[in-house]
Amino acid sequence: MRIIGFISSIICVFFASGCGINSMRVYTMQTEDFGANQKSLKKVICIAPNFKKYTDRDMDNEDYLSSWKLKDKFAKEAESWSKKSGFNYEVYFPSEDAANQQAIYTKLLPLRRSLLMAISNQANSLNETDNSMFSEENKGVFVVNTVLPAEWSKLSEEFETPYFSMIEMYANNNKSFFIHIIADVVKGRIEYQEIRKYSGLVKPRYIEHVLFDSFRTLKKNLKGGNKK
Amino acid sequence: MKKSFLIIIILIAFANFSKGQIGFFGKRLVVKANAISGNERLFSGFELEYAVKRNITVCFGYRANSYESTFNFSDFESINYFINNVSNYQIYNFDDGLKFYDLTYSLSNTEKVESGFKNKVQDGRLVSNRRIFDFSFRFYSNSYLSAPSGFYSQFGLGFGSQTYNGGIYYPDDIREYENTSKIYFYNESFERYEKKETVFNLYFGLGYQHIFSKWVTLDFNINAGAGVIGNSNTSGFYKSSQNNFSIILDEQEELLRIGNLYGNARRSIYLSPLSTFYFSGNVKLGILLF
Repeated sequence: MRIIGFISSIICVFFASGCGINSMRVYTMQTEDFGANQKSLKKVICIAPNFKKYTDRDMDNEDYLSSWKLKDKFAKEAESWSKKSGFNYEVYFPSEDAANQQAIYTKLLPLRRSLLMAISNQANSLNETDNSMFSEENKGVFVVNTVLPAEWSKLSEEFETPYFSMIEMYANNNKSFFIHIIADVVKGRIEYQEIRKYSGLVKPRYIEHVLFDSFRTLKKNLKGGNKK
Repeated sequence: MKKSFLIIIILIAFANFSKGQIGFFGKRLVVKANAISGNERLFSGFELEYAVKRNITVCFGYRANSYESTFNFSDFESINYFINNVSNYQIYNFDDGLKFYDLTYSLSNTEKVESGFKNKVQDGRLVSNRRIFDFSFRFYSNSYLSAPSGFYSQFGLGFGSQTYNGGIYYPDDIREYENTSKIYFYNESFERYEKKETVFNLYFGLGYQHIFSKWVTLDFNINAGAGVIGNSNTSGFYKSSQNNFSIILDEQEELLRIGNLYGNARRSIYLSPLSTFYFSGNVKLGILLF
């Protein structure tokens, strides 16, 4: 019986490695009526998808170069996986095209900056996600909506959609974070926010998986409506 | 034992907390064939793997194999072989063994008899058929990739049956030595043996599954297991005689021979000889269906 106990304890250690240590967490938050306008959400303007990877910011500058090279791939994959998942993301990122450059540097990048500010202002105790480890997914509903500046609402006429999104990935030491945000500039608020936390540094071949997972989750949340 | 099962169940429940989409790009089911599996035949079994959680899959497998074990009188080239290979069964009389050895040794020196042996191919032959059903859980340890790909640990059980069919052929030629030996005198005859065993084993393994071009999978794993075989005595053999078989063997001698065949068959089933603990390596080739 001692041998059985010994073997089973070894087995349990290996099981534990499969269950929790290398797991991935998803935190999503959305407005209460998100999902009511599924059709209009099909066209979304995605502003400069960004990919940043660094092992140590002070010591190693080459990581920025390598992540800059991966940025194009990241943007293309984001566009293709959005279409495969049934959404129409138009991706804008700095390129040599003059018209594109004007749109980006005068309109979209400032909007992106205000989106980032809006997220940081949402750290309200009422806005917490459900952190239960036994739930399927950590979901939350925005109780307090941060209002975006009204000046951005004019962009909805120019780009023919009120929805603007931001997709970013940050990798640092042994953790990687993925952020996916959708904002409605007419209502002036963040509609949907998804944060993924991965253990382990992201590799280029994982980008596809991350984007696939993200768009699948978005689709599921749209169908689920405002259920918590 | 109860405690260890409880711990396993609790761990499975805890595994719920890894979240996100299930399946490799949404595909969950893999159908696999055993390319290399221990000493089993090529593509002798198949397996279905289904992702139930992001990190957990359930596998169902079926393996059917047959092994052949042979026995030649001329194998007894030295008394050491005889003692090392047969003495485990402790069912023979040492004096009889010596005589048997002398007889076969003298036979193998005679050209005529050697040709006779070559024509008959084998003096004893036992074919074991084994059918095993497998059921196992796999626990993947990946953060970015979903279940059917990556490194995993595996815990499973197998159950099934194995049947032995075969017999011992006694050549006619030995008659010539009627006068030289007082041991046994044979007519040409054949004796048939049958046996059925139930098999149950638990195993634990580690492995890695790689997915090529989103639909072809290659799965490597190493298993360590402990098995229980029901009715694992040589006396469990059912004997049915054929032809003009005249009584020659006493009980001990008979058990000795079938015991040797049985031992060889069991050795070929498990990589480690006649042990209840075994190790095996597997390579499986599969298709990621949907």
